[in-house]
Amino acid sequence: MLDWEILIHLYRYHITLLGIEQIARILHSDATSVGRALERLKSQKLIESSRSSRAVRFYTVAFSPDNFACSCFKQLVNFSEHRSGRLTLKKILKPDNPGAAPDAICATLLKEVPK
Amino acid sequence: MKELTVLSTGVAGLDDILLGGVPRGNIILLQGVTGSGKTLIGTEIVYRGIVEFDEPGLIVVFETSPNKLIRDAAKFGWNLDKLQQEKKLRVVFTSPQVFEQELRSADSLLLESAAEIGAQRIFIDGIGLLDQNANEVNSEPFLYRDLFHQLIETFQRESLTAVLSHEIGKTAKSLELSEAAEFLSDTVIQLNRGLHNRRSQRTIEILKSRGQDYESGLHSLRITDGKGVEVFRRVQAPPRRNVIQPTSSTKRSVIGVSAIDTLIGGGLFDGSTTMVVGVSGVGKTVLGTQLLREGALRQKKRGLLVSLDEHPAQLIRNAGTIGLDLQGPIDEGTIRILFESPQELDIDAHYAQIIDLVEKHDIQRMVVDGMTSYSSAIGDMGIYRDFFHALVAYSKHRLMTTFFNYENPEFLGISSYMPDFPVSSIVDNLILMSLVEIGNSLHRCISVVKARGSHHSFQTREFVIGEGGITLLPQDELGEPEVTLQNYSSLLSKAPTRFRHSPRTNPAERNPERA
Repeated sequence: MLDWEILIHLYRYHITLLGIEQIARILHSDATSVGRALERLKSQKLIESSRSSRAVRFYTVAFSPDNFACSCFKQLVNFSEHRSGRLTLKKILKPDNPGAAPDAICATLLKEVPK
Repeated sequence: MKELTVLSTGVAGLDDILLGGVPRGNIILLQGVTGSGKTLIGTEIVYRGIVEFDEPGLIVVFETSPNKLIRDAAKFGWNLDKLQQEKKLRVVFTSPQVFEQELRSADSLLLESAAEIGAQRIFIDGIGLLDQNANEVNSEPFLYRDLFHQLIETFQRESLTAVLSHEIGKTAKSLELSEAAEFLSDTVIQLNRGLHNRRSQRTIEILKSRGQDYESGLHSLRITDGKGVEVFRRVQAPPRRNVIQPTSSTKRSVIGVSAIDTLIGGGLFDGSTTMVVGVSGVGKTVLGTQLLREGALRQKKRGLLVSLDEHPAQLIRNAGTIGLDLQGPIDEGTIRILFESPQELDIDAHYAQIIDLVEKHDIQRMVVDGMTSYSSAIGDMGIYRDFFHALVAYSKHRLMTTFFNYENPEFLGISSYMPDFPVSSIVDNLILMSLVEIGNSLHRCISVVKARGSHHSFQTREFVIGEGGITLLPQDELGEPEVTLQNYSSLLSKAPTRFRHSPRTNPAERNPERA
């Protein structure tokens, strides 16, 4: 769920210039967990980051607007605008398949999420 | 010495009051209360820089969500997403702490990012938040000032023109911060939002701008969907352009309305101003309509009717009932009507709209129908007077012949030309339209009280409104009306008295029974 929250945050804030600690503070989480989540999102090519300058980086979401993952993601963002949607997502987003490709994750999620 | 170049903000009207723009490299501070338009103006300066002057830019936000900023900008037709994809704009979300760190850092990512896109403008939204950061790191009271210094040095080094927004709160601390920011910035633009009657009104004032002159005082600011910010110079601000301006002409133009031409003695000077004073229903609007129509059709003078009282459809209909076709000249573009509701009147914006219409369509004859409605709409007598003076001065500068209709509240007879607005000395010509009671009927009559430079008639003449508008009734003619007004004295002093022996009528034709 933290991965999702970070992804949502970076999507909403477009270009974020922050350090791990500031992101953790915004999301009310701890820096270690946020650092790990950022690494996972990077390895899945869902986010991009710049070089580090005094522990601060530019972060942006990585998918282009015409990407399948992006269209899935936007649907999920809309879905998560409501409380019931967020609760459903929380149930679905369990770390049981960390190595799966983003497109595959999105496709799985969309099967579960009502249109 | 390096030449001082000017940066156009691109915000409609703002460059006019800045007399062209802001010296490039100036640190511009936008300060104001919540909802005064700081974020919007800052965003627009960056946006206009990109689309109108090919100057990429950066927007840095601490609290505002970039998503909302982009969404709100879209309402004005500004596609910030597209500009980001084209690498002409970057909207960066960061924290005050990171921002401050970036200013100190030799390998700043933010400045690297600005250089990558060739940014020339940067907007920092919410510079006051740096103070919270200052307090966290160090409790010294002057730290905010130090941070501000650092900010200025950084932007000057990077050749960035920076726009900083600063929210003014009510606490002593906030005022202290404002003072520091004001002192250190090169250009300080104060934005306000207040109530005028029950209507919210935004104003803008340039408090200082190093290296340039500017239009001082409070100007109006309007935020319009599909457009953005529009600044309207206060009406009484002295014009800086065209210092040498004509104020009078020796050319006299026939008005085309025989009633006026007869009484004034062959027409009015071009560029003259005329106040038409009369009670409600006496025919001021008819005269105005006739003046414009005759001007457009016979004198080839384009006309503008400005009305706060009647909607164009109603004016066209009413004129049509007396055979004055307004629709034709409107369709041909020789007459234009500007109607604005007095309830929502923003006088600076309204004045700018009049000037825009006059200049765009080369208007040579203008009728302002309803000065009394302006009085009630504006409320403040000083601003009302400023508006009137500005219109008179502008008309003279353009050599445009202008008529102002003023509704005198006194029904029968008058004790003052303009009781609540004594400006009759400012205009060149003064025409009185009155109702006089003779027997049990009301008669319309007209007098030219003043016509500068003209040998005008001092007679009060009766007129009728019929097909084609206003027509003077002939003098020295028996028949209809049975007894002409020339047989009476004291017409305007509520006590018409008929002469027993009129020196100008044939005693043999006199009918003493009618007295």
